[in-house]
Amino acid sequence: MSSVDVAKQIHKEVDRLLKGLTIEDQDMVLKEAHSIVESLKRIEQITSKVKAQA
Amino acid sequence: MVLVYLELSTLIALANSFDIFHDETKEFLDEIKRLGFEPISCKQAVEMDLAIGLAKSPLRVADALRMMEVIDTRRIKLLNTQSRTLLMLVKEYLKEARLNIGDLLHYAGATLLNADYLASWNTDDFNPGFEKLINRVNIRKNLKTIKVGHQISS
Repeated sequence: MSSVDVAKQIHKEVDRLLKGLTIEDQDMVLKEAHSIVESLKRIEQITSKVKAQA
Repeated sequence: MVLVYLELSTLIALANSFDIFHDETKEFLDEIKRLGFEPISCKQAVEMDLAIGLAKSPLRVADALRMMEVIDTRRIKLLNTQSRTLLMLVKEYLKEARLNIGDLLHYAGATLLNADYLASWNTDDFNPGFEKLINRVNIRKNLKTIKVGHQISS
């Protein structure tokens, strides 16, 4: 799949998820997405650190 | 300072060396830097894309990490907007343009971050036709208008 196809698919899923929600609920979803990305960054930091020490 | 907003497709292409648009995206970013322009994207829109991309499978964890890495190493600024303002603007756009909310988060992000250009490889959803509809709302709401295009045209 090209970058365009992947991006289109993701945006379709974002639409499916957010459509019909209130602005307040959509806002909460954005905050959760932020937490997911932050967790991912932390996991990467920890694993890199552990690998570097090994 | 001219601000060039990078939509999801360009970020995916940049992070994937096997993507058909990878080399062009790299060249485009080099050109942006050479001209003294600044590449930006909207933090909320990108985070939403990454989270949903992972949850719904088009992205693997390694893809998401690679995207975050290239955003960092290529010094693409991920900028925050006020989330509620962003979502309210998306709601306004939905009245005018038949686009996915995922696309509209990037249009709204580019507008609220005062981008001059929005670059995307997805010409179905990011094109001069939709640019006109988006800018109609922006003019009505006294917001900056944006120029939409793919890298070759912009």
